[in-house]
Amino acid sequence: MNTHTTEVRSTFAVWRRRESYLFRFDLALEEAVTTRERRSILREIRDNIEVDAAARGIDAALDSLGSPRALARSFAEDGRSNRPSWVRAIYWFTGLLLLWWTLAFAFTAGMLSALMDNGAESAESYFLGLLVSAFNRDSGIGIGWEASSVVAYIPLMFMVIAAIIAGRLWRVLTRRR
Amino acid sequence: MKQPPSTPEVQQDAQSLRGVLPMLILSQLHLAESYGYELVVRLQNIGLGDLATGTVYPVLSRLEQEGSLTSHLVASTAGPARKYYALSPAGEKALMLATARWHSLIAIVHTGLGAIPTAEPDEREPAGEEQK
Repeated sequence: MNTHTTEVRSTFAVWRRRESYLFRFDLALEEAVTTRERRSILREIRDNIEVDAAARGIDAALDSLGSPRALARSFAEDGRSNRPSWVRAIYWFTGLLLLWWTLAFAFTAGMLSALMDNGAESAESYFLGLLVSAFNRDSGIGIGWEASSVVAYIPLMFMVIAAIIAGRLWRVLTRRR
Repeated sequence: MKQPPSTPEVQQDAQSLRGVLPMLILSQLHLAESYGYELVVRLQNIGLGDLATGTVYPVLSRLEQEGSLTSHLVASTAGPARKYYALSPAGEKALMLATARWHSLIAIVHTGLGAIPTAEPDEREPAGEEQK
């Protein structure tokens, strides 16, 4: 490994550590301050980390800041984080949706593969309450999903509930009282 | 980092430090405007060697919200514009008031302590050693 490769990796490691910290800080900060304040604070902390890391190294710079959550909480007016986190809610909803899609597509692809293997023309089955159909005809192959009952919407409800809990979205109501 | 000769070699109590930190920040910005990290270094140079950056930045933000500080962005050659803080007229008043209160407190504490001798550094319990 030559010197240039080591430097590139080292720079990448510093960037990864800094961005990882700032990502967690940003998520926690959303619960503590307004969007406008959040952007300004984030920009300033990023700049200070860069200067500090250049002087003492990224490890010392991040250690001195403390945990991202504790730092974010100390920016809150009353020292408490009591705002909803829409970003965290969106991350959870999107993550679970992608997971569900991946599983549903894998299930459907398995059905299609079985059809092609045994030469049958079409098949229907259920995946977590969702009616999945696959066909293999001379004209081509195809798949279909049909939400024929309320059960099919249970995964969607689960995603919404997970997003509400992860983002603490009930704080929208409790903050206005 | 070398400490000034007059600074006692005693680790600062975090709670006490938190109480005086806004006043020290105001005093440093009274001398010259600074951006966040530069201010931390300046505070470390006056004797607060263990001062964490994560303690200072939220105080700066709070003082700005209270109106004691003003800020402006200064273009930087190394990256995005840098946020510099300066003392506002309200901050000058707050600093005067905090200084007066501090001197009053010192006088009270001094009277209260009376003639209690100060332990020499080598007579103090090493940090982390159990009391017997």
